[in-house]
Amino acid sequence: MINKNSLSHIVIAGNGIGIWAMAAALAEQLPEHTHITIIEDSSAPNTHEFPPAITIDCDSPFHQLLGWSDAQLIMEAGGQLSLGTNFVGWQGEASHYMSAPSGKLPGINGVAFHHIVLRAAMARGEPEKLPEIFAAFRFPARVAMAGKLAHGSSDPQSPRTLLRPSITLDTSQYMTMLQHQARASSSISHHQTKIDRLVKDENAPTIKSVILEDGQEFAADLFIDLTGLLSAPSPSETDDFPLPFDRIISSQYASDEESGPTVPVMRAFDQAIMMEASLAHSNCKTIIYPSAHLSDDHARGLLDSQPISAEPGHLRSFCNPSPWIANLVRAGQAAGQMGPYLSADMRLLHQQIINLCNLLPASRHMDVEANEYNRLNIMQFNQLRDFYLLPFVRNGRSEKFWENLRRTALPESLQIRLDQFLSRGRLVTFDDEIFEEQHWIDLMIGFGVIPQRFDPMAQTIDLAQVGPSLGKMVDAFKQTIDAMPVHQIYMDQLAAAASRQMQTGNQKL
Amino acid sequence: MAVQAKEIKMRPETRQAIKEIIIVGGGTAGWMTAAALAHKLSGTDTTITLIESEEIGTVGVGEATLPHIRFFNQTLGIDEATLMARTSATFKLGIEFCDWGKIGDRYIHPFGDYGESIGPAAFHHYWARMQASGDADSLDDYSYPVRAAEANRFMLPDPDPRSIFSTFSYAFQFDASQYAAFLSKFAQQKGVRRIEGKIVNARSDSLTGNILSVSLENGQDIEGDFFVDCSGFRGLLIEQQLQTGYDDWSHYLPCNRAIAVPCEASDPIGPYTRATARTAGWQWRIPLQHRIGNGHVYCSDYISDDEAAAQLMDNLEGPPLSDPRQLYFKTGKRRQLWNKNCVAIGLSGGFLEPLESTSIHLIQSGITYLIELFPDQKCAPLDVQEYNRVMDLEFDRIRDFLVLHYVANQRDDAPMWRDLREMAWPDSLREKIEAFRGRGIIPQYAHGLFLPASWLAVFAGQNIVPERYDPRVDKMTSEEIAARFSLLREKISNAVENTGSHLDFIQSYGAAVGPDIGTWAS
Repeated sequence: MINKNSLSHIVIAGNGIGIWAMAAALAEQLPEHTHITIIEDSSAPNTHEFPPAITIDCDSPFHQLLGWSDAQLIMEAGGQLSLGTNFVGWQGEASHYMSAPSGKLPGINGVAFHHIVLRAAMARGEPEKLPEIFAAFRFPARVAMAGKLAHGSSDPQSPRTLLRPSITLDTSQYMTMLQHQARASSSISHHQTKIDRLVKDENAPTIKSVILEDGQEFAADLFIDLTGLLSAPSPSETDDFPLPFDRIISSQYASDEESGPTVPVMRAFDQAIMMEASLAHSNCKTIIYPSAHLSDDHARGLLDSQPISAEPGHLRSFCNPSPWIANLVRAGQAAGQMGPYLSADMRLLHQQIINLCNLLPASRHMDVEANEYNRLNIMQFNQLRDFYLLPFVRNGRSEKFWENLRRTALPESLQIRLDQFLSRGRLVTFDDEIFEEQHWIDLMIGFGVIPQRFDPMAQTIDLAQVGPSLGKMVDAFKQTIDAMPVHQIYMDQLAAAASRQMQTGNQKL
Repeated sequence: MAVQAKEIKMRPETRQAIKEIIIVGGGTAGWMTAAALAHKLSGTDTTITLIESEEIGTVGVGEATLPHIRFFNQTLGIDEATLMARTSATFKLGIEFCDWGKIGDRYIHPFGDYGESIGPAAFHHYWARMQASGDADSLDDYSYPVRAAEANRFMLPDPDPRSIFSTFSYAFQFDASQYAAFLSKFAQQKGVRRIEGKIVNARSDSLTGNILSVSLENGQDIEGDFFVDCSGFRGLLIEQQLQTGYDDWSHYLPCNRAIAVPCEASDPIGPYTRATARTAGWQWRIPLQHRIGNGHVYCSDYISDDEAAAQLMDNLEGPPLSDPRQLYFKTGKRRQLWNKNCVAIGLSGGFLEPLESTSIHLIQSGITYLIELFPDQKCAPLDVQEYNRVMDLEFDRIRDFLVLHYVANQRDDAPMWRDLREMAWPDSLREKIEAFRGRGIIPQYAHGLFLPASWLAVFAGQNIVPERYDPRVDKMTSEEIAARFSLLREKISNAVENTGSHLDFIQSYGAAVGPDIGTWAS
């Protein structure tokens, strides 16, 4: 029989949401004979926490893995659906750009949709108006801007197939959900205490056991470190996300219905970014800023509400190039941090947990699993980084601070994407893309990356003929949007349905 | 119908559209390129000229294809049954490899997936556990296309993803010279100008190095903005004119010669190609409607041409239909597939030997990316770099996949096989093999031809078996897994029972060679 040394004991160490997310997923996936010990050291300095609200794709594979529905997240974590994120002030003080993930717009005769629009814009002698003209075709963004909401549709004829809703969650309620799920599993035990020391295996780089302050010792096949309790940061960690923000401060306050924004907001200020989101019963704000340029008091002033903790947190962006070494796997903030931009860190954490589930070692020889985990970790970090960097480096604000951001030295992969798109409107894709192509294309155009020429094949398209069909498309979009419910009504319907669903579920039990 | 280009106010620096494309060389690469560009550019004022010489033969042994070619044909609006009838084509569900792991081994690399979704782990992890306990035999039992191919049966895939008949794709085995002829007619109907003639010289701009024109034996000078070199191994423009250089990969893929000969069929015309390992190379068998294509690919360090020819002729299933033809090659890739204003497509760009029918696919990728990155007269360095980046990825990943067939052998009968086992493998391949052997991890990438199921087929077919499997498999008991496996085997065997014969299907599909083919093809 192979798998002789099958995984029988896993130790998860750290504090905060990461340990619970990891434990819940592993318990769901592994056979019952694998025991999971959580060692939670809440006294350890938590250098980085998640913002009070996080936004995750509705079809998130992580939630699918846990068997969680939107209904459950709405009921138990104050979930609010949205179709995009509003970038306010990025192109100049009063500007708005609704960034919304979208399915692919249909091309014509093999010519990508945005090239047809580009050609039309050039035919009018106004290529610089491309973002404006193209905006009419960004259906999910238009729905979001109209204050409407709906789920996607499986009918390929409906523009609603383009919708990609996401759900904003109350981070502390989300953590409670994860804790419940993990605690319900008979294969998990939980110890709240400090770690005294690690015991290494003799003549091997592996960890044998961990000894707690109270003298208890836990031996395991695999050790998972979520916050750096088991491992000093690796010396080769590099700052891979070249932005100057190093402080973070958040607030969360009770709200009446409809007082907050219906979609999450990323608001640009001189020398700071503010993220705003509204939940079922509260509004959340998070500000990031560079301490060298902006005082904490100034940041608190921008927040304009009671901060959760008076002292700002520290923000550092890095990616550990080898988070899995021997039988120690780092995930969460021990493996890399990007920041709260569009819930980057939560996305990374989910991704790492899924990667680890897919690569769980079958014995003490786990080099190949580690290599693959490490490869995926850096690739996914880079994918997120490139996407999140784009609005910063293509901003249109006039302050010195933002001007400097435009001159940020870019990672090679983002440079290739920008160069190709600028020169000819072609989106370069790499292995293991996280974001849909249309979302990338929309973001490029939205942030003013206007291709210098269109696909030569677009010349073969008869504009006189295509023009009216494009017009019909815009009309069809408008009609669909008009018929859609406004955000709050749709949310109320969902909440009512969710509540009924949960009640029937409970009755069954 | 098209709007005039001058109506459009383009920025000054982008006004210089390519006006004249010159394709050097006919053959499969030349005519595929001409047909695709003509189709794509119809309606623009770009003209396409293809220069070929009847005196210079084409290699034209690329007779087996991959499923992607169907997409190429569909894009051009070519009717599949008509094309098949005109190229004596048969269907292809995969490639059978005989004697590759050990003498006596055989497996089929199918165009399709194995098994079905059983739990959170991939199917092959469940298979690895069953194999370890002796409860599952071959992976082949869990592949419809493998079992259908072995039974010489064929039907089209079912678009309903719930059906077992949706788990595969298919390609063709065809006469490549007839395919080139078919596309030649297609391209010329779309306005491609064909010039008969032998190119003797090319002229470049002394400042930019760009090619300006080629001249023919008869003194005619043909100018162009952009050149596609489809001249075969010699690389008339990409090498002889531009001196681009060649990355020699013969240390990884040492076969350097081939002898090809068609013969009459005596075994069934199955929907699959066969590659049988020999002492110093391997032999192909490609069944077409009217004949069997055969060839022996070998390494001249280990066998003489005469011996290689004798081995081939001794192993034909029927009388030969012509004299054997000798071919010489060096595996590798042109250092830049796109250099200056010239792109090399086909053998001029590189050759990775025909083991997995990748030659025509590489032509297709070259064309697809050329269309995606179609330049203006400046040939922006950005586009050139990008083209070379993506084509290098294609070549590298295919190379590793091909090398895998050679190095994962356990043959002890001949020095070539021992040397291949013991040579330094590419690091990228060694890592892939270790990851699969160690824990059943299969390479996965977006840019590259072979999908995880292909890697799995060759790994398992050549006796690389995972030593450990995904621990999540143990969430199910052996009995539960065995029950699922047994159901699946039954489902596949019933599906094969319900599939009709390959040759009958060709008839009913309207793809059989008609009596007028002879006159048409000439």
